Amino acid sequence: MRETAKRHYDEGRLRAYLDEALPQHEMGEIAAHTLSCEQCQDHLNSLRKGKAEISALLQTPVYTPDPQLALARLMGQVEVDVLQPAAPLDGNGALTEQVQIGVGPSKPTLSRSRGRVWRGTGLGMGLGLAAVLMLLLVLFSGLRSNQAPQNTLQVPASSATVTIGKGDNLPTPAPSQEPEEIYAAQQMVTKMAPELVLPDVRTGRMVALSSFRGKPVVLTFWDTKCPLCTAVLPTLREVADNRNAVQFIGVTFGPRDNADSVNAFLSKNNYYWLFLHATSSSTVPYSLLAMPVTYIIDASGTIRAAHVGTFLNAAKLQGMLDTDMQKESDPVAGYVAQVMVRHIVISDTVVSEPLGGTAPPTAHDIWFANGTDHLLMYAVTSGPPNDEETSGATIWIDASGVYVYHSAPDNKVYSYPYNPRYIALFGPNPGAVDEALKKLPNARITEHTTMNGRPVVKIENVYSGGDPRINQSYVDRILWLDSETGRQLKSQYISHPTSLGSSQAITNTIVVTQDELLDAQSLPDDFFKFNLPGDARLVNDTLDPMGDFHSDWYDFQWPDGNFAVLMPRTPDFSGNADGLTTIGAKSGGVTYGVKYRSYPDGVPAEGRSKEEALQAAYDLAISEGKVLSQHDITLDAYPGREYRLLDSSGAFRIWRIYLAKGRLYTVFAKAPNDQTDMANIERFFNSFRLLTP
Amino acid sequence: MTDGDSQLLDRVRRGHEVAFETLFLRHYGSVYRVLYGLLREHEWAEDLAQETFLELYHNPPRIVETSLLAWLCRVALNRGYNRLRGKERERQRIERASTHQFTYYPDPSVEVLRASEGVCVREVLARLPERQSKLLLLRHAGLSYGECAVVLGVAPGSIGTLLARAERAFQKAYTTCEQPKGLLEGEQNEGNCQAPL
Repeated sequence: MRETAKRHYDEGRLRAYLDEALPQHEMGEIAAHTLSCEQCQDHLNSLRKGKAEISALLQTPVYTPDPQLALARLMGQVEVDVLQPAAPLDGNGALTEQVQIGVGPSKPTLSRSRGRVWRGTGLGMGLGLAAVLMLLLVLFSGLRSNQAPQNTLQVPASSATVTIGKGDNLPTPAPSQEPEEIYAAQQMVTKMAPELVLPDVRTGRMVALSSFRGKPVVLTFWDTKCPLCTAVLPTLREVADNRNAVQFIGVTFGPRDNADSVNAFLSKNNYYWLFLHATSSSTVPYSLLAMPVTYIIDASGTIRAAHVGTFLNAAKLQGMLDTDMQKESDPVAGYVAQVMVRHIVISDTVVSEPLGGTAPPTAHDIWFANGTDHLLMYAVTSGPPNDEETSGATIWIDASGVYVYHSAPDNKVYSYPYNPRYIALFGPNPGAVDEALKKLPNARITEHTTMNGRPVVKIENVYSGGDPRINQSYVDRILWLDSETGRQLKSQYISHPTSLGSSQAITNTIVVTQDELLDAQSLPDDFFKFNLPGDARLVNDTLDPMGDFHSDWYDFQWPDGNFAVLMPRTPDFSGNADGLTTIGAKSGGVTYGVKYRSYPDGVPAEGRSKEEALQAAYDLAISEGKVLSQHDITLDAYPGREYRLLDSSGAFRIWRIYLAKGRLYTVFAKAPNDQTDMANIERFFNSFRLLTP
Repeated sequence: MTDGDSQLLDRVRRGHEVAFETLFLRHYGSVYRVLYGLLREHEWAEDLAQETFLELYHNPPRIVETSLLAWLCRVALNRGYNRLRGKERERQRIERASTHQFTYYPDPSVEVLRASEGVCVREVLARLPERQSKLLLLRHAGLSYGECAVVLGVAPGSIGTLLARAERAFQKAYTTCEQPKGLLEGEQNEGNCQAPL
């Protein structure tokens, strides 16, 4: 619209002018016009102000998920819950989940001349890790003979001392180019399929995966809540219709699913093959960092192919069934995934400097743990009798010899703000840092430093382009990699410092996965020695004792020294608004937090007494949704009340409200639903305590 | 549609995963930002962004449009609004079923527990006419006037006018939305918005 001296530009044109969405000549005309037209200038300023206000309100998030990671997740939806604590501590501080051990083929080959070889002194030059496992089974078979599986492994009694050796012909694993979840699944290929014994969702009858030996199996892990998972089922049916000789098996998990919900889904969609249901994904010894994941297992029980994600068409699956069956297997490595944890206490063993020290592991107190998706080394022992804190305690030490945590006989669990993932567990991997640099478009090493005693390089990636509102470059991602192994110890995503709101760094923790085992081959010959003393005794078998450590629970003390609580991780949100202070963290889909407002004795706040405020807080809880339960509680004799309710979104909330020491505290947790595992939630609530007298 | 997008989309139709991945990496950020703007929750935005690209993979658009990003944003916004409507229906159902009265307390110590600025923004957006809220989200997520016009099915020349109106309507609704403060992630509740639209 051309302008005359007496006319004014309409607001649409002025608004477009602000966004520079007009042709150049018109931009010039409006610029000139507004210099002389007060009315248009005011109008323009008003629009500019409105735009700025709304921009502030609609500002994009402080971080946008990494598209590469999002793509990997789309290819196979990442199951973060898998990484959360799997085996909760029981009242004695012991991990309670019981598992079957030693399931596998009855006559494994221990010495092999190609591929990855595990050899030990008892059988010549270095016995394989499988032999170590066998040793453990032999040593403790008498202690739990009534639980011994049918396929218990046998090794010569002379193999009392074994070393996991480096070996002359061991290849160094190449750094993975795949997303972690895909790489982890691929690592299971050529290995024996870990045993599953789970109930049929239709009949409740227990079914063993090994019972299908003699025919190929297509094993798919999925759940009904995941659209990517359900999208793969029609493909499976298409192939199943034409492959009568192949056994198709689907496995779902609680708490996301239960047998009824799965049954209803299967009936509705006529998925007719065998479906099993596990109570938790953490109890399944398969790499389930991503779902859906499909494993092709041959007639001998060896995994021949793995596919992560929903992009599995019938042709690809047919191809996997036809061609991948020809791959060679690695029967020894197959046992690795089947090792379960032995929880052992070795009496009268003194650990010289367990607390925060970095003493190297001694020969007799190293054990190893293999969970469903983690493989870490740890030690279990007892402290010196005269040490009040550790006497009779169970002490956990990771593979690098660094103290992790201990549980004392008073049934309390002591943990420390220490992350075992930050330790480089395994040996050198030359070139790994260079490989990591190649994956980032504008990355460079900015610092050489140390972390937990390990040499570390700091890598910064510079953002350039992509978002039209950001004209300058800035560091958008920082990685800290172990210099020798290339292991990513920490990473940060950083939002744009000005345009996208307040600057905030998102720190990611690191997940240790099963492929670590393979890296262990490059350790020095004598790094892990197993020389168990005669007084070792088995306490119990647990699946994943490191599960709790992965989530980094630690005793968080509020800086003012007034209260402390066990938190799953460093609080990732905190704030203070209008006198209300809140801290909290999310872990495993559950939000944990504490908030408080001060009500000094005798001083009414916000026009009401503290008793009135307490009642108002109670009323608020009731108004939040459908109250499932409520009852009075106390905290050091201070009054309070606990509410459990389902809110309008279906989320399960627990509030514990206390009026104590001049403060109104609300300790809260929010879980996705009321089927959520309560162990950690209960632990959180029970750990909240006042510190000042 | 850019030549690059057009060619890649053609390959996606023929099942080329690499082409799909390229488009994903190219447009994911914009789609995510649009969804986050509407939903104000990272998890929802990520979920629906995934679903949007899954839709692209399984049912790529047959008609060549002027902008693939516009198509993606339209799919994303439709899913986002459906999610919000579903949540609202569920909230109403529970409210009806509950024997408790939902009462709002004027006391700040109570109100701080109730809502956040983000919830108010979300509710105001949900109550604006869809065309207005969509335009605000698209534009503030960085889409051009042309791309916004494609999503909304209007002439590019009208975007400036529509945008000015939408911003005015948003401001008006937002000023009437009560904004409790201090609530943090994970404890967000329904806001007490009274958008007059």
